[in-house]
Amino acid sequence: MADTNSKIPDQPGEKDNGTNRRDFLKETGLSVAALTGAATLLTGSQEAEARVTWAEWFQKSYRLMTNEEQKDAIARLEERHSQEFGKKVTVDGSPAMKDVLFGYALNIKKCIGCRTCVHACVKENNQSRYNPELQWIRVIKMEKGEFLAANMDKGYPKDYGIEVGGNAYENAGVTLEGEHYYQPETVPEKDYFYFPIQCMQCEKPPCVKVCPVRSTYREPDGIVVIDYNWCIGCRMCISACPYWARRSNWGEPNLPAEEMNPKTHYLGNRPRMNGATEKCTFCLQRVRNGRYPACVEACPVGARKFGNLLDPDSEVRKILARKGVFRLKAELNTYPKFFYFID
Amino acid sequence: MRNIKLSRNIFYALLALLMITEIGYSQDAQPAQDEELVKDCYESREDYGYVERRDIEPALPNVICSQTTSRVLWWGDPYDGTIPLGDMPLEADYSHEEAVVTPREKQLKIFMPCTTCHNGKTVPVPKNKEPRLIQFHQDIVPNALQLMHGKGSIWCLDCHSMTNRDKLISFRAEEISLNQPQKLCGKCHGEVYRDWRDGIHGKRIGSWTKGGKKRWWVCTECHNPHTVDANIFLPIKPEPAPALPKGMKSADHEHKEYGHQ
Amino acid sequence: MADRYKKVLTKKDSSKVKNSLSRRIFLKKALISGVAMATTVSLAKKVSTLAIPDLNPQKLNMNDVIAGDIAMAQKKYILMTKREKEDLVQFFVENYQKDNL
Repeated sequence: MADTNSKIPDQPGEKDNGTNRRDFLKETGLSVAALTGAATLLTGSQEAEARVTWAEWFQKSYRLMTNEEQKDAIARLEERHSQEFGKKVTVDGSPAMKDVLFGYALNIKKCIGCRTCVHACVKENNQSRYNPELQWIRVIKMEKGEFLAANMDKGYPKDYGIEVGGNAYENAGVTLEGEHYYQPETVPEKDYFYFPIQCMQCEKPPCVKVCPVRSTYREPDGIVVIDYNWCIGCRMCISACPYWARRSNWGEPNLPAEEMNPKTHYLGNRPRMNGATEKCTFCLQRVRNGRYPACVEACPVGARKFGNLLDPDSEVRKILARKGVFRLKAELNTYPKFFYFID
Repeated sequence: MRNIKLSRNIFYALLALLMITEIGYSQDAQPAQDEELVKDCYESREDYGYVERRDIEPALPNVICSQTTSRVLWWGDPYDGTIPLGDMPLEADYSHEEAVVTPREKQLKIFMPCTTCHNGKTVPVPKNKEPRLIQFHQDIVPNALQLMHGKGSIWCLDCHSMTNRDKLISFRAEEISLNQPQKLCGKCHGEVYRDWRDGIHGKRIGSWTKGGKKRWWVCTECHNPHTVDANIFLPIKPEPAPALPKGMKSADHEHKEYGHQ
Repeated sequence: MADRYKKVLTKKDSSKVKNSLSRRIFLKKALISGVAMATTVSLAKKVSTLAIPDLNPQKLNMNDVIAGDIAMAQKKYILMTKREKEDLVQFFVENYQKDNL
């Protein structure tokens, strides 16, 4: 009786629960082991890399880290990338300089559409070279408009004529519709102008507003940055940007080791991962150390100008004071800090 | 219970399969690299001086050249091989030590100084500046009677010194080094010169900071003074276009003929 | 105590019967729930089509994106006036000071 009794569960379900928990624990253990194994496999068999990957999974958003944690994260990345690319890779973490707000100006009359800036940017910023091929600068070939004498007085604001920005010059409108894949023998071509677009480092950036995890944010020196580790790859920012400035790593980036630029910044040109979004940062790793951005240096016609908007003697402020300036899609109130000017 | 267990096992199996396929998923083969690395490249003007790629430090080249257009894309050391720019006739916001240029006169030494021939004996000193046909230097000026600069109002000897051909000369008979052509050009092109001096015309590399060290491009590094009337800037070959999106066969849709407005 | 025995015994004995019974019940339940689901789905679809007039992505695109493009196409690149440029610089400077006090 007692024997039989003992076989019968006192409270129905207890035995089941026991098995359940044990099974659950066993399976959880197994799956954790599988995951760890998979993580090791995924990131290559090197132990250091696996350890770094493991630590990166539990890493906080860069903006919320303490200085110590930031240093740890940077040290981890230096270790990982040095091993991955077979050379000494430095990851800079220098913060924004005091009393500096970066601005950019591009002489739209001088640009010849040679795409030197596009490729200089790729060399500097460690973009994926192929499959996917990512480029942060886009140059659009557009038809020149015509000058209509009848519109001479239809200036803006009214009655001030062409001198204050009259619209006698009829152009195609702010459509950004033109040719992206033009490939003539030589540039510039007659009757066309070239419109390079890249991240405008908006003062009120719409991409920052939509980011659900706040991995993209505006730094005090005005540069909109991305914490690639914190990015979940939802690509909301890409659709929010009116300037088509952001790119997504649609696959595992392909960056040949010999072409990799070893001078990197955490928020700038360090190698990205599959799924992370990236964009122009005015070459954060260079400009925070006093150097011109790569595209400014590369431009063979000197159409690109860069400087501190808070300094009245800077190139950008002089251009704003002296030249005819317009902004792209200014009516969207994003307050871009990238200006187009004409002589 | 059994069913749940079974389905859970299937789930794990699928997960493992997914991970394996993820690891095994291989990218398309890397595009073939150019066998020979372009090492001689030009900076702005294709017919001007060339710069040779070399390593300043291990794994840090002085320049990175484009493999398709042999244009310099990137400078490892922006001040490599430069000399101080020297005085500017009017003060600009730069400090003298921090403004550098690449010397042009060194080219004369590499090839041959002009005065090897233009020494007054081999080639006599011309009597006046009147334009006339010349037998030499057709590579620079094909027809000396149609100099493509100044729309017929100036000629060779208005800029090149009659007596010392290694130097330029201003209309006030001051000799000007070929390293500093801006001193000559600025005499006529005052407005552009002012913009250049203030850094809003022309090209500079180095430090963006106020008073920071910069390499300045002088006028002739971008403009060919002998052909400016034809081309202010000589047309150059563009870098390759971006890759077409997956599945797009051609970019014909972009053209006007295609019905694109 | 005795009740419990009975229960266990009946369970063992009538396992075949119960199995067939549970299958029948299961099929019945599946049928009912299937019908219920289908009804709910069709109802929801009907309601949504009534509530939201047109969900044609082609049309939505035409009404939203294309309209925006057309509006932008009619705009011009207009040079900023001197005043506008000064105000803009002032805005940047003030914004910086406000953020970095």
